[in-house]
Amino acid sequence: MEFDPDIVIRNLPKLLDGARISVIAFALALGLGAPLAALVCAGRMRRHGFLAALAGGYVTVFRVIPEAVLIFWMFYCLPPLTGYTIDGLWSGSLALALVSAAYLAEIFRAGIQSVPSGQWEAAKALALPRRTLWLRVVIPQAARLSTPPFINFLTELLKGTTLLATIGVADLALQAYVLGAQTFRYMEFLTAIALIYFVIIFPVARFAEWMEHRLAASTR
Amino acid sequence: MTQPAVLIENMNKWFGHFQALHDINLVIAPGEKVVICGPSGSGKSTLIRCINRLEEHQQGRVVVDGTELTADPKAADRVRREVGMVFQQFNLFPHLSVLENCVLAPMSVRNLSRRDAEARAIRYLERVRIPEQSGKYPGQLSGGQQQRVAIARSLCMEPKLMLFDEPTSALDPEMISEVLDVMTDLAADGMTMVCVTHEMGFARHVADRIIFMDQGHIIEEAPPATFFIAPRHDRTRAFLGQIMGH
Repeated sequence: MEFDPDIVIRNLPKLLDGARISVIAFALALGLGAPLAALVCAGRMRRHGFLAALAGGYVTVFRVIPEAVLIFWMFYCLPPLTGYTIDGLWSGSLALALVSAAYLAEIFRAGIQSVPSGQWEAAKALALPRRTLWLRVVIPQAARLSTPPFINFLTELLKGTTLLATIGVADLALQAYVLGAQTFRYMEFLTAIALIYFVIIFPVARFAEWMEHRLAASTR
Repeated sequence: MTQPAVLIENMNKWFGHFQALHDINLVIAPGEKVVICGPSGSGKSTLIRCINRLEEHQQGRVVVDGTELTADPKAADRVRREVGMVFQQFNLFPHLSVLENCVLAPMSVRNLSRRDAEARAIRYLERVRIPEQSGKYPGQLSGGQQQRVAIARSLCMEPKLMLFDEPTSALDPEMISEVLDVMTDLAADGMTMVCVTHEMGFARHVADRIIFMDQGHIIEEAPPATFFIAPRHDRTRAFLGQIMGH
């Protein structure tokens, strides 16, 4: 069997359609997940009480359930339970958003907690209002420390979007699979998308690594 | 009689089951300079941190500039606006320039315009002899410079009282005097000061009163002349022997 790269080029428009769907799923999951993560993180920062327990429970549940199971569950079980049907792209992206929120909340929390206690004390001793303490002192420093794990998480999320193919969302992975099936050229299409994902994700992962080293050097 | 800058009555403080401060009574008058010394773990830092409620006391009263510190966060806030604090580890905001460190609180707490806050910052940076560094970041400065910036940052709030928690303990020896010089100037200008320090030369020249603490108790209080020449308690003598003996 010959490897025919032309067949990939000829079907590029379909693959690009798939890539567009992948990007939409990624953006939806991040756009919904990040604000939710901020809320969960706020709950996690409390020491006691209902909100702390709720946020803790949230993180546990959505980190333990495998993403694929949650994606299936929301796609197949939610419509009969609620009486609403939502399409795969939305329900799948929402599932990814729920899981993302759990992971991102922990990334944000780790960033906030790594701001040294002396910074909080200095801010308190200066009588800084809460708003100023958070916006000018804590969050800028936490954001710096959270950036490498955050970027790493983005690569995981992009990889996670391929799971939506399992509920029929026509993302890049599904397009490649379908095209492979239609042409019996799995080798070309699946190799092509493996390359595409690699080319996108590898530089981002390296960038995160580089930032991590730079941060480690600057905080010594 | 004028209102004391700090009034502490029968104050007790615990960390869990460990009693860190025992029955503390202390009155500090406006303009007074008090040095607190004692072995490590004697509770001196805890005591000074109770004055701006970075630590909470469990019993007794702490009244600062007429405001009693209670569970009400507004009381702590009111006190902190008038009380500056300088930390052993400087605790400058590393992501902000020296100037931004200095204008942050005056702008957000005192509602100063940026122009007024910057003018004030430059004035106090000049006072701690470091105006040329205002555009730099804390990480680019030496320890002594950072601590002087931290003093200027506190002074920008124009506090009535300054707390110093071992301000020279984290410094290389050659940088200690530049910080002590600034503190001495500040004392000469009439600032009310409470300093936890082991710098006995500074204590001798600047303090109106020296307080010696051990195991959470105030053991002895005396003006420097009496304190160094005729300490009354064995523990004070032992401590002075240890830190002045070599």
